[in-house]
Amino acid sequence: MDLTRFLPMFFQETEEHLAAMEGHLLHLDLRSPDPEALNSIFRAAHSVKGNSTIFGATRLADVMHRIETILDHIRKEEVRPTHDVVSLLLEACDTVREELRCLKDATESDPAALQAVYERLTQLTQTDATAAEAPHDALAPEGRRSARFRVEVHLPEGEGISALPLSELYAELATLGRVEDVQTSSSASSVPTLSLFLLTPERQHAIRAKLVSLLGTDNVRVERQHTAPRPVAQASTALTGRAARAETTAFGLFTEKLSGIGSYGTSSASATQTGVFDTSALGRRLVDHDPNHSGFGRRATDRMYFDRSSIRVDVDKVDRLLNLVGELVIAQSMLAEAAQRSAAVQDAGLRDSVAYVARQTRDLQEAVMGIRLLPLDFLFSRIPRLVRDLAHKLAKDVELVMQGGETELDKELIEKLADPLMHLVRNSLDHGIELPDAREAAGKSRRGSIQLRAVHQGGGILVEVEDDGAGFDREKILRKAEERGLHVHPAMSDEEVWQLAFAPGFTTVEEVSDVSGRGVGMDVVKRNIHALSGHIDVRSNRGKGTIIAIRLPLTLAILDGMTVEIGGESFIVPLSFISEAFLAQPGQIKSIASGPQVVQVRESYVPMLDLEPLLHIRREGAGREAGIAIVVEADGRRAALAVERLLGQQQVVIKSLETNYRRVPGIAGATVLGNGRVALILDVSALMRAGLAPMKSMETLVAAQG
Amino acid sequence: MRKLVLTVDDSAAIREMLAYVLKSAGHRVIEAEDGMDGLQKALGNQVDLVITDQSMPKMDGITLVKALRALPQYKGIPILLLTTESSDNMKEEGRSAGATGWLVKPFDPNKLIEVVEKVTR
Repeated sequence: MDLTRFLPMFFQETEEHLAAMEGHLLHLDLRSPDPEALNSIFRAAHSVKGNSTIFGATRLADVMHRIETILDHIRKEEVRPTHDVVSLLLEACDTVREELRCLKDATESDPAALQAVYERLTQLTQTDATAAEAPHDALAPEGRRSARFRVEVHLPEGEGISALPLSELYAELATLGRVEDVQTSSSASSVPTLSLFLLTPERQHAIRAKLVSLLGTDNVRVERQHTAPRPVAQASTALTGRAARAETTAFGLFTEKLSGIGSYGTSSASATQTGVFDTSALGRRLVDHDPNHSGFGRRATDRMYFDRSSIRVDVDKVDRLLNLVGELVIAQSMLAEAAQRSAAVQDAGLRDSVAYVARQTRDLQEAVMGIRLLPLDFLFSRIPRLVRDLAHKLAKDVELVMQGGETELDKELIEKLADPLMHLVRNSLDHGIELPDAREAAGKSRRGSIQLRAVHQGGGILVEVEDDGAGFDREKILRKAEERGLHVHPAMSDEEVWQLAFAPGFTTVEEVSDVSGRGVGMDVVKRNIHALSGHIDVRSNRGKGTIIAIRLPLTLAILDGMTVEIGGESFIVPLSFISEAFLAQPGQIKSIASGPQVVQVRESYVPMLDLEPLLHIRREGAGREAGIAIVVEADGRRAALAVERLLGQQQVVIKSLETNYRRVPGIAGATVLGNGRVALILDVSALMRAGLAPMKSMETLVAAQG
Repeated sequence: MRKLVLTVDDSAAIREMLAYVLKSAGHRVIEAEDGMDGLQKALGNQVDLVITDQSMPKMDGITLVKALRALPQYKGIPILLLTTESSDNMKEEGRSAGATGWLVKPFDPNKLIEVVEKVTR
């Protein structure tokens, strides 16, 4: 039997366990670690160890075993989880992750790295001197910490445990916390009792109240246990036992020799005679029971146990599906147009069917795209680690607040957003947040704050990185920009000044640190965001802080666009860039010396993009003159596009030009219109970059984009 | 004989692998993702065999074994513990909780089927 096909799942799960470990470690309260958090870390480590043996990676299993040992020491309060200890554990996670990656890709890993971590972990397990410093409960913040409770439920005379609504009871307990031990006493002499231990942050009276209301009886005792929490089952074995070693070398999975089976004798054969309680009869009795009568009458019927079922599907399959649906959408709009043109449009039946197909196609497209959406938590979860390590390195004190991690975004966007977002957070921490002393001198709290927020906004998503640091220094940016030969003048608006920070190679940092500010960065961030059809905006307040806002579409597969006619060709302008469109009267357009034409929009003048050289098109007489001006906004600047006609607003399926042809500057992609013709999607910000710098031609744009 | 087996593991990969092996031997399988889920499913179905992991969130395997053994209908049903290591401690804990046997991960599929046949006979 070939079980290797399960390997990818194991790899993925192992990665998830490592991520979980990391998450819990990062949130661990060092002065008073939550026992349940420690248990979670322990379980994750244990799972990684177990899976490592499945991969035949015994060295990994050894490392994980050391980690388990340390965690067990921490749990028993023999080792204090200092910053250094946690750092080492996090580092070990990194090394293990790297090793896994090598295993997965079948590439060579660095055995020295794993060995080094192993030795450091071993060292830590041997220096029990740290044990002297026990954590002090007095310092522990009240609230979230779990405590251990002994719960006892006494049953009425003559009843067995089956008289309890067990399913509801266990379900309720599961919502409260973790059940650790279950026992029944049913000896003839004493009252039959179900007893168990519950590890939960809830308060004693709240637990009891819930159980009393669920069971409808007063025969419930809840007692807080004051001893240290009992470790989960494997704890003791982790200490005494050797790390599990798969007795095969290299990639020895699922082969014989690996399994051991033991039996505790014939307990299975014995004892079925205690079945005094016929369960079917019991059910009847419970239903018949008068709910006001004391006893176990009431049943919580409003509680349902849902099966969380999900399947894992290869991303390629989803992409193929998405692509097919894209084609279907195009086919559907072709059909709609053909029907519109044909004489048969008089036929109400055909009209309704076409409309029905259109509606269903949209729903199908939305549903399929929904499959690719992932919560931003996939990305956010990497931030705490970054902030922790960096803050430590820079000797800064920072609190990270993240909101909106549940906001969903296309998988590809999430992946491509990772680097820019990490960069922005690094920047905020490195350049924004001041050192504690400087903050205090400026009348701020010593601890800085970085907030990461995500919300859905107008069919797209808004991700903000906010810090309460020093803010952008307008004068410094202007000075630096001037030094770099950028075009500046003192009257520039703040927004324009902040955008200078995104110019290639721009940095205000005097000394290059190894954290950020290597001169590459903000311009790359901006380019990456633009490549995702997004915008990036800065709001900054000197001395108060900075907010960097990234706006992104939900998906890269479709786009809300305005179809326009320029020089007899159809183009798509992404709606997200359009701020307004109006019929330009001849007097509204003015020429100014040595610059582009401008169009008057209420009180201000907006430069017009000369599209002919930019798009290599030629407009005939009439097309040049009259027209509609579309005001677009990108990177804090505005510009107007003169178009002959607006052909309509629609969702278009984006086809990459890059993969199907080659990259074309000024063009973001292509789509197929309902009439079967291809229309190019304008890359508004690239066009503005090329068109607004005085007299830059397409060639300069080409050169600039390499 | 076709048996109804309840597999309890927080690892979906292990569950799928167990299901694959067990189904290929003609058994029916119910899956649960932790001890609590396993207990609920055991209450909802009368299964012939329980195979459970030890280390799981919400409720661990040992607790599940104890909870099942506290139920009259599960007094005599075989329960196998799926473990990562086979230390004496683990064996003692499993034995006293009332488990029928243990199986070390990673398991050999043929061995698993053999054990299933043996304990459900």
